[in-house]
Amino acid sequence: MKRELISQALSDIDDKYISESAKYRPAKSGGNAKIVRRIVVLAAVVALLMALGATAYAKGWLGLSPLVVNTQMPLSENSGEHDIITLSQPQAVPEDLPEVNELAEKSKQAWQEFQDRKNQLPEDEEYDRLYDLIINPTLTKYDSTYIENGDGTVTINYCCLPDDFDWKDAIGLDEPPLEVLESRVVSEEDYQRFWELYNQHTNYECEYDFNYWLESDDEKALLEDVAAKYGLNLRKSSTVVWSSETTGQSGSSYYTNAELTDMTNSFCKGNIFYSTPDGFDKLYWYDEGTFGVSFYLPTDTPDRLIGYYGYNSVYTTLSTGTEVISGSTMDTYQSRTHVCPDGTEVEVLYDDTDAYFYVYLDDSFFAGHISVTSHNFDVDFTLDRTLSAEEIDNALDSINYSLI
Amino acid sequence: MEDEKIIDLFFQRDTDAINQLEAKHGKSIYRTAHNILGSAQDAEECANDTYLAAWNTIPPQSPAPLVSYVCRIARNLAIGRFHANTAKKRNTYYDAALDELEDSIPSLETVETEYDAKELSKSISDFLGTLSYDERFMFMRRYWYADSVTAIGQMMGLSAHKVSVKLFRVRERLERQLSKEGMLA
Repeated sequence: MKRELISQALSDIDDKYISESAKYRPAKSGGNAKIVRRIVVLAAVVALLMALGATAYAKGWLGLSPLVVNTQMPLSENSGEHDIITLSQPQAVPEDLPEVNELAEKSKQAWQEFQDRKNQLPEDEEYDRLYDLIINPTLTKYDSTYIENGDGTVTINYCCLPDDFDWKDAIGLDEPPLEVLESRVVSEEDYQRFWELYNQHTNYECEYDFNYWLESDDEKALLEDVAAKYGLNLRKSSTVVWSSETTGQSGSSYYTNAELTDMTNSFCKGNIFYSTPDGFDKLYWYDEGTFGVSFYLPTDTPDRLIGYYGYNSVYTTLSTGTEVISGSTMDTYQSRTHVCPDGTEVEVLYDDTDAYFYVYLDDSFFAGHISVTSHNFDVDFTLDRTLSAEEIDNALDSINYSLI
Repeated sequence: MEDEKIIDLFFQRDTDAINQLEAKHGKSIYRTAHNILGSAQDAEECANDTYLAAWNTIPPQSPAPLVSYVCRIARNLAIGRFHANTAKKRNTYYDAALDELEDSIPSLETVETEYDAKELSKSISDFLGTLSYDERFMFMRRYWYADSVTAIGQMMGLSAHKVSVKLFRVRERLERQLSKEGMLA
């Protein structure tokens, strides 16, 4: 209860504090540390996944490795370790599918090469110069303060903590005692230019899917070069549409469930649904054939729905493997094979509440997640989230995989 | 595109409003949801639900600033989904952030029935006004956006340890403030 009270209280916090902290902006005087780096949480995850990619198959559970990117990755400092499941790139293709394996490996190699070459791109010299001038991580041992001098210049004090400093002594103080290691005065022009460049570096947008994490035209050109070298396509921005019936909305992005069924089928070889789903969460697609579809199937209990999220990754598209991922602890998962009505054998990984599945198709890897959900995602502690084997099988049987 | 123009598109019922909203604030929305949910798939769905909610509420709403409005929606949707998803699994940044706050104000439990969330929220907002920008930024990123201390440190150029220590001190001050206001037993 206390947890919920705190959570609700935080939700109602004054708007101005939410917007001012949407992005870190340095105070112009008397502030604290102003070192800022280009960081996006998922970019860090991507880097970590790449670094740990070699351990992707370490656990080697029967049937699990094609979805498990790496094992034992902490999701937060205070949490345990979790397995990362990718729904967008096959990780361990069976030996009897050499052509699929070649394409999957090509995509992984291309992404690795892009990462490697990106690290070798020439740095933005002006940005680097200003970064060292303003931020200077070498000088900043603890903190730095910026003080406007009134004549357009800004004084930066690079500070450290005293050698004998003990944090216990600082409890109750507004600020810890700081010792100024070095000060420097910078021009207003350099100061402003630095933050201008900082924003350019951190807010880059282009026509390609944001999952490639591009930050400059040079990186974009490099990605195009690598994709061309490996003969792979790149995803551009996606189109998303929703269900007018599920949402009660109308407009150019809203379609009936029947229309969404037809639209999904338009990316496939025929009608993949044995019946029109009870509702759609969404359908999204890219122009090179990748698509994701999320729909609901009914159960006997009102508002207890079975959610089916499927993602179709085209083998010939450059994938990072992290476009759609989940975190879970796979130790408790079991695996089995399920034969669908069209004869397709689907590998299923499941525990009490979640099931992941995948199938190697001729042109793509189709993977997905099945779980219990409700239309509005309302807080409902009474909703039975346990998935039965029958519910998993029924969800799997709702699609004709041979027509994807 | 400027926020005002995006809102204009919403008012004109032009669905390009959603594309523009995604282009301008999509990353913030996604990140807010991802921090709470710890799952890219869930975060993506939550982000899409946020766009839909914005479509449903603008108009009549004409929020300014837009970013806090949509991030608030994303956070509320993510928390709803978080409770649903993680009844038995507690493993996100949001868990860790709530744990910290819960531990730092232990006696709140004894008087919670006398004070509702809105009063507590007002006290926290008042408290935030007494902090420096950097302290506020850390507090909000940690407990509202549910960022990890490492991520906050990276944003600000501080070590995770330093952020943790600073947040510890801020929480101590919050506890004192709440105690002073009679919010704690």
